[in-house]
Amino acid sequence: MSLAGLSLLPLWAAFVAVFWVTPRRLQIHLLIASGTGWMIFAREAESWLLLAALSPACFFLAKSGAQRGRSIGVAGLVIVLLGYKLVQDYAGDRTVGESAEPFVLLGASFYLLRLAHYLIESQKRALPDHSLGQFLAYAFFLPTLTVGPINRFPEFLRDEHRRRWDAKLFVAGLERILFGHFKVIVVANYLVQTKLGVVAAELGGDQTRLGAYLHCLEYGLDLYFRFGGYCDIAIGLSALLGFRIAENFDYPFFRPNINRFWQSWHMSLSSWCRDYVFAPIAFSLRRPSAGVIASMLIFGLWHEVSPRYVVWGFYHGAGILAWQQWQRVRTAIPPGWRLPPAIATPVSTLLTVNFVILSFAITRSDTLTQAMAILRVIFLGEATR
Amino acid sequence: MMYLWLVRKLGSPVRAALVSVLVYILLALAIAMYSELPDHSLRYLEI
Repeated sequence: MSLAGLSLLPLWAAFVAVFWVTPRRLQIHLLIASGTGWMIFAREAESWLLLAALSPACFFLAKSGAQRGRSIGVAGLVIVLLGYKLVQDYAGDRTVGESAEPFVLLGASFYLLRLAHYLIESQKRALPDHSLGQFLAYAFFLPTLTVGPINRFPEFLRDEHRRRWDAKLFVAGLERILFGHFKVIVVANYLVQTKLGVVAAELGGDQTRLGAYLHCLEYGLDLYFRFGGYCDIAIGLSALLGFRIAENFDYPFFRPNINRFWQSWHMSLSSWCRDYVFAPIAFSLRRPSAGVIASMLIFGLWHEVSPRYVVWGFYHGAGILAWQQWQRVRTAIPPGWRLPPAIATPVSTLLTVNFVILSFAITRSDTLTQAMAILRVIFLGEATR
Repeated sequence: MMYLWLVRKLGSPVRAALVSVLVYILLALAIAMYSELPDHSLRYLEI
């Protein structure tokens, strides 16, 4: 059962009502209890145990002031995340009742990054003063617990301090929830998966150029509208509780270059990679290109530890580096020789969108061989055997 | 928020309220119409 499902709306309404009639000093306990309650209700005891064990440990490490302990803590979180990904990707399905399900620790990829962010910021001494309750409320914050966005602790704490009933924010939250459900149910489920999926299949599917291309487009649009819709719902639910959560998408398919695309797609993860992977590597090695490749690799491996996501990371990293090189070349072109913005912007947007759509051939395939076969069909027209 | 955007665009709070309520109703109807479709809810989003 998804946290963003329509059937849960009455439960959310009841929770929000109880939240606002609860005395303010008890509200953070309610936030912790709701996250815990949901994980137990969704029968995600393993995930709850992991979060319940790691979050107090992170808090005490952060408060201890031992720099080395925090570094070990961050390394430990990375190892836990890597181990989880390896188990998830290579241990096969687990049996739940009579059916086999993929091994998923509900929301672990998101909350492990939140905890790592917390420890790294505490290492930099950039965290404001806070209590264990406030930190646990952040770690167990239900709206963003399972599908993000990967919200930051200082912003959460700011809202926790300033939070008060705000009718405008509340209505904005309701509107976002409506938009989110529309994106998931009408756009992703109906228009993209049902309609566009059928059109792509009728055009020959992965056997023809247009069919294979449309399948990649369908995959990308489905991911965008479904994930974007869930994020809208999470942001809306947070607003109902008085919290402003940072946006996760900002019209990525309208961006004129791959660099801007990655600044507007899954923004909470891309900014995490920028701050904690790109910046340290680029500054310590004095080579921004190494930082770009490393952060795109981590971005890919966060999804899945597999060769195809390594290739996917290199593909996008190389795309960003190529764009940066092009910027250097472009400045050398005399202004009179450049395309006017009215032509250059749509052309570069179209190129960027297609660069991204082609990368969906990698992510929608189970193996690299399959991805290469799809790309061969798109570029050479050779049907897969 | 859509209402405030509409107030700026249409210049009238009453018209903006009417249009936004109409849009909300249409969106809710569309959601109700297609909510029975199988939800490919992408368990992998909850990774």
